[in-house]
Amino acid sequence: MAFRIEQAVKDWRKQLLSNPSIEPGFAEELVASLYDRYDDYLIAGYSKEDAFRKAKEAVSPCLESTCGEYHKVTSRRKFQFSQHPKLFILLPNYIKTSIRHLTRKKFYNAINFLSLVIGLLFTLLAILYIDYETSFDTFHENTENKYRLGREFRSQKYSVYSFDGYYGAPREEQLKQINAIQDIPDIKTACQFYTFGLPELVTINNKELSVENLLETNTPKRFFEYFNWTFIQGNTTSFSSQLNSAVLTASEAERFFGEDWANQEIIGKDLNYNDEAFVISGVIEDIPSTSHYDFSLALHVEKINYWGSRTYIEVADNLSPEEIASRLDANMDKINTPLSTSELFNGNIVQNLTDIHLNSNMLYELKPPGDKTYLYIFGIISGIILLLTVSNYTNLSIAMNASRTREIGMRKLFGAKKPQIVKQFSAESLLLSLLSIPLVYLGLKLLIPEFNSFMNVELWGNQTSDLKIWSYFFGIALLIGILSGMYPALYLGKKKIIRLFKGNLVQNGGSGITTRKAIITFQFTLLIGLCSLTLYVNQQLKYIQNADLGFDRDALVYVNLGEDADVYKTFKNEVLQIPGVTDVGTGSPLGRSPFNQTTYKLGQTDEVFDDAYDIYLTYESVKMLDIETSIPEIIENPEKAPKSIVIINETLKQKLMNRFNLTAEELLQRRIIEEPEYTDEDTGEVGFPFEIGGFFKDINMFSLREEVTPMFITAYKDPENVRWAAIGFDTSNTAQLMAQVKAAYKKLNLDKAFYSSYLSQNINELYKKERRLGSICILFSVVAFFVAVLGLIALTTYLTTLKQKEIGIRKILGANYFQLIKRFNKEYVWLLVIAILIAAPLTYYGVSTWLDSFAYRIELSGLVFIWAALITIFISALAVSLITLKVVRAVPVKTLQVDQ
Amino acid sequence: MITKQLVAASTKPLLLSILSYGENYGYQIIKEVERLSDGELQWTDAMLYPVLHRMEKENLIQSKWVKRDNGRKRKYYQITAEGVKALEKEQNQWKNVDQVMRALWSKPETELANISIK
Repeated sequence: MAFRIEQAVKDWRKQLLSNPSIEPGFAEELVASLYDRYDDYLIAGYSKEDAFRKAKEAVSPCLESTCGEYHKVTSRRKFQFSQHPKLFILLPNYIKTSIRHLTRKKFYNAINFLSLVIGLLFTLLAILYIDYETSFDTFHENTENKYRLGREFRSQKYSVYSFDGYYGAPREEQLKQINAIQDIPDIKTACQFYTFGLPELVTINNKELSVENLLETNTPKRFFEYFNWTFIQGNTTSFSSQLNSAVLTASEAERFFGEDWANQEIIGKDLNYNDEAFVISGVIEDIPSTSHYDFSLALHVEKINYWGSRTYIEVADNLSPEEIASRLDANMDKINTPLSTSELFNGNIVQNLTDIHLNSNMLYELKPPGDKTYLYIFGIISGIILLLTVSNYTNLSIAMNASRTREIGMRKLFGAKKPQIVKQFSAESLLLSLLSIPLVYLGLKLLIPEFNSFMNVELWGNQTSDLKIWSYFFGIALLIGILSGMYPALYLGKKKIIRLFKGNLVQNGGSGITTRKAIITFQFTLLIGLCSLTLYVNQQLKYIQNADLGFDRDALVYVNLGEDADVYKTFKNEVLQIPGVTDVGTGSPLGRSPFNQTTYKLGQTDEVFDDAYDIYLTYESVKMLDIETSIPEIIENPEKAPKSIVIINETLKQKLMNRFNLTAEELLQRRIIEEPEYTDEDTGEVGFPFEIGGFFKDINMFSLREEVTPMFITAYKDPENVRWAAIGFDTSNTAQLMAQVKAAYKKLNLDKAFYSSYLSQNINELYKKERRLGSICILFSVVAFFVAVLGLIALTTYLTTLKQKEIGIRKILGANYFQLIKRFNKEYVWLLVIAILIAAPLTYYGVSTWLDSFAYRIELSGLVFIWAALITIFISALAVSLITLKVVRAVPVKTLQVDQ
Repeated sequence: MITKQLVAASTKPLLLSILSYGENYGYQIIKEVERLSDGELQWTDAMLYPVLHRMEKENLIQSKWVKRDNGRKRKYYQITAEGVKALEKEQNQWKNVDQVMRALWSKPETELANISIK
């Protein structure tokens, strides 16, 4: 048969096209090339057949490799165009199926939804709180180079930077100190100020108001440049160019000038404070609550009216705090000459601005410092709620979706792979958690104001950007969505098709370890842990509130005076007339934060100690406080008492007796020399000597976190300067009493704002954080229980519905309600026992760590765990029993008819 | 023979260069390359056409079918404006490589040693 080129090419083309990689266009191209070569070979003298064979070989020596080359082009095209559209095509289907499923099982999904809303709400609340606490001072510019200076003196750390000459330091001395710091190489700027917390009377436009948090500075320009507070009116120059200028915050301006202060001529107005005239030179925005100090009125003064200042520096890049401290120490003779030679001075403390709130606990902090422990506790509790939410969802959706096996089976039959099944179930949980956002938003809007006022914070304030809030919202919602959907999705996605068509995946009450049981045990563990934590914290709080402090905490109320003995006497006589007042005294107030300790030594010995607190109380105060002393006859009759007498506490007495091998009798009348490092230049006398006049039982002057240390009380008769008047009272009508005291105060015509505080209040104030923690624990525990019980109810309901037939048959065979309920509860008892065994050691460890921060604390009793377990078992058994009862009461015939 | 890797790397710039002289078809391109390289570069149809397709997809070249007098069809390729730009880039890169190689290979061996020590 003659060779026909057309037929040969046709056959070859067919052969090419039989491979899926070769599209018709490609084949045409190869055919064209073949013809070109064929023609060339014919011209070269080959026969038709040979020409074709050679041309074919040249075009495609190996059909497979040719196809392989083309496949590279086609496969790349597939990758570019077909992956994403698949999700696009399927997404509406995923959503449609999700919505269908969500609406089909309304009750269970509503419970899932509710628990998601609550979980999200409280997790977000905790995140916002942690975010708030860790964002202190981060809004300043260049914070990494900004530091606050402090000093170590004796063995205590001071946040106040004292002046050479303390109160008496003139302006020049105060400025010399700050300038000497600024002159150190690599220190770019140094500024100082002091804020006065107690209210002071300020007059503007004949309007007299008491203003809290007054700030005085004599480095005005540097101060405003350093902190960069935003001026609404005026500017830094107007404040710094003239002495006795004043800057108000916006809300203070509103107090004095009314709501439309912005439209008034405020700048240039006179301001009167402490008989001194100031001129208003600006208004700034309010200080954010996340600043480590606060002020409402800044005054540019000649000298700061205090014994030291708050001192801040900005340094060059890459300078470590240790390096700065060593440079400051090396230049101490220029900064504060007497201090540089003092034995008691132990060096400078350099603290980054952003560390002050959470990582500082020095004497005289500006605001009560934050506590990391509380952030951890908060984090843990909200983590527990988050886990409960997620595990609730997981558990319930495994149970519910187990009946959707046929759906999954069908999907798989139509070609769905595991990833697509996973996406379907993830889409459902994501949809549910995203749907919860509007409700969570509303909930937070309602909850946050309450939370803010209770915790004294400003969550979601002006400082928090909306973007941040929303990113938290969506971030947490997505996280919960993904976490909750993950297990059910993976679990159902991996099942074999044949298994999926065999029916329900939930093992009906089997005895093996199932994921569902593991999750329930996990939930029980969390609940018992949280419950016992709450019980412990509140036990400790109760202990603190009722502990014997060594003095009568309800005895008196303090009133600010700050006047000399004459005014005090007048006031005292006035107040003593008021019915219900038992006595009036004065001296150092109790129930406060630790202050500076003093050095001392026992006469005729050389060892100097530096751990004593020295307080002054008039005889009346000692008596009112009911402090137990060894000299009651003197305390009772102040008229006959010596001018003053020093008594030492039990701790100091024991310390000296042990150290120097003395008896109590030998210790009496021995000399103690306070501040032996000081020598009077005129008389040559060393320190401040006194004789031990008696002893007193230890008192807890500070919070019970602090150990009782050695202490002197100087009991005295006639005060000279009286800062606080202590009024003893014996009445329950304190409101009326205080009104009368205030009237007496007014009579004195002092140029001061009246300020009073009950001793009991002061003491309570010391435990503010702890009390807040206690209440928050209770709140979060209740929420956690609620979430867990919701989950348990839903799960039990579902499982009992599945077992309707079993219950029906059992009833027919004679089982009574009690037996059936017992059967359903029994399953949980073992889980609960395991949960106790896991929760107890963990909680024990956590709570002991927290309690270690208290010098005086409760003993941890294991009984609490039993209580926690009982509470958990009671609540869960109640939920399970009620739900089971509902199913058990159904008529067996009906349930047996149901085709599942 | 030139290595597979070098063939792969040089295909695109060579194709762009050839097409910059005017439109051309597959078999002619293969012959052209063979002629210019004195037979050192031997492209196959199976290698060339997929590359041409890819380049067309990248908008560097465009193609059209032309019917010849004898009734057969042939596919002609043409460089696009984008292809011209790509060619300029390729030229710069190859020139740079060429420059380095020339510099290195034109020096006497002692100097070469110094370069490698540095």
